[in-house]
Amino acid sequence: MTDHREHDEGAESLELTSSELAALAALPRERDPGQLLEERTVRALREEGLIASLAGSSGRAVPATGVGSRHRPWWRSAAAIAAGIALFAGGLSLGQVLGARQTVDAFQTVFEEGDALLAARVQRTGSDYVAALAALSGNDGSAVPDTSQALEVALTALWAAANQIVLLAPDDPLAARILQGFEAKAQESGDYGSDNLLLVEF
Amino acid sequence: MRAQAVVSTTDQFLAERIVGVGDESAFRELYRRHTPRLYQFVLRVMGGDELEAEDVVQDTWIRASRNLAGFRWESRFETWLTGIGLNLCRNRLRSSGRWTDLPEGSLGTVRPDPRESRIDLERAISLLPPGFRTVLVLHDIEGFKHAEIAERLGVTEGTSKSQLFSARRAMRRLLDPAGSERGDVQ
Repeated sequence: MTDHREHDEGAESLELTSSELAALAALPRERDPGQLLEERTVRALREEGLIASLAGSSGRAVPATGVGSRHRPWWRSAAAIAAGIALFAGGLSLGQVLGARQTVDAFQTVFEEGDALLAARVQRTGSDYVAALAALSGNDGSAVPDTSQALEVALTALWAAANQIVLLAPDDPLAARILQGFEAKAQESGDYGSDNLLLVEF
Repeated sequence: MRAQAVVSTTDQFLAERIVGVGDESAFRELYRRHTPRLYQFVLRVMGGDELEAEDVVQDTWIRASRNLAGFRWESRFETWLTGIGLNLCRNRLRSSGRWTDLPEGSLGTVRPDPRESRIDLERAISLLPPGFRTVLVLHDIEGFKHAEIAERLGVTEGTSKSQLFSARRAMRRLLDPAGSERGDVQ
């Protein structure tokens, strides 16, 4: 590529005047497109994996010796990313296994605690039942104007409880005797029996 | 105090750093060395459209970086880079239907804005049809020979000369419409 504008034009060309040659020669040969284009181009090359990222710097000149570069080739970066993903996936799987085990243990604990809670609940409601009967009888010092309705409810509750105990422990003699007493009473007065049980919801 | 020799890095050394280890600072150095000239060239061929010229320059560097390992260094890096930029300019102008090899008679349509009694050379070049403009920029500004232009544009030397003739005549009309009407131009 040489300057031959006056001599390489051939018969078909239109000769340039000296002023035109001077004007063309005076045209600028360089123009700075600005820093943004450089950054845009560098980013595009990074995305294509053609250059590695330069951490903590923006365009320092390369050392004249070319020694001591801190950059990694693109494939090393890709390998590092792949290793990171594999590590994350492994950790996630392990966490899921451990998490599942912990969940089973937690359910077991809840079930074990559930039995105790039910027993405590029976004890608490039983205590409330006895305390209410005590109040009904006047042993706690309170005035009781009419006990017939309360007595009926108390006996019905006792009968219902005896039924539940028999269901829980069919061979339990005490629960069976309580129910036998209720049946005898019902046959005597006609108020309690299998055909006309008073259902009380607690 | 020990004196240190400053060794300037060659284009080839920088290119080898980019190809070998993806050295960003080497790329920036190479970019800063050659982009101002590349950008000015591309800007002229694209008719002064800065946004398009920036896109072409970026694409030129991407394409050059992809093919850097295959560059044999038998020609100047700058010339190779300009060739890539020229191809991308042509592709862009063609894809948008702007690259047309106009026949001689169509030169009459190349007119400056009537409100502009006289325009400067840069603007006159930008108003030329892309095909003429490219040949004029390559020959009269960048100093390429017709044989080189013909090779780069995929045309014959005769076509290159013919296009230059047309381009210069159109440029004169744009620069001095009154003179052209008086018949000053051959």
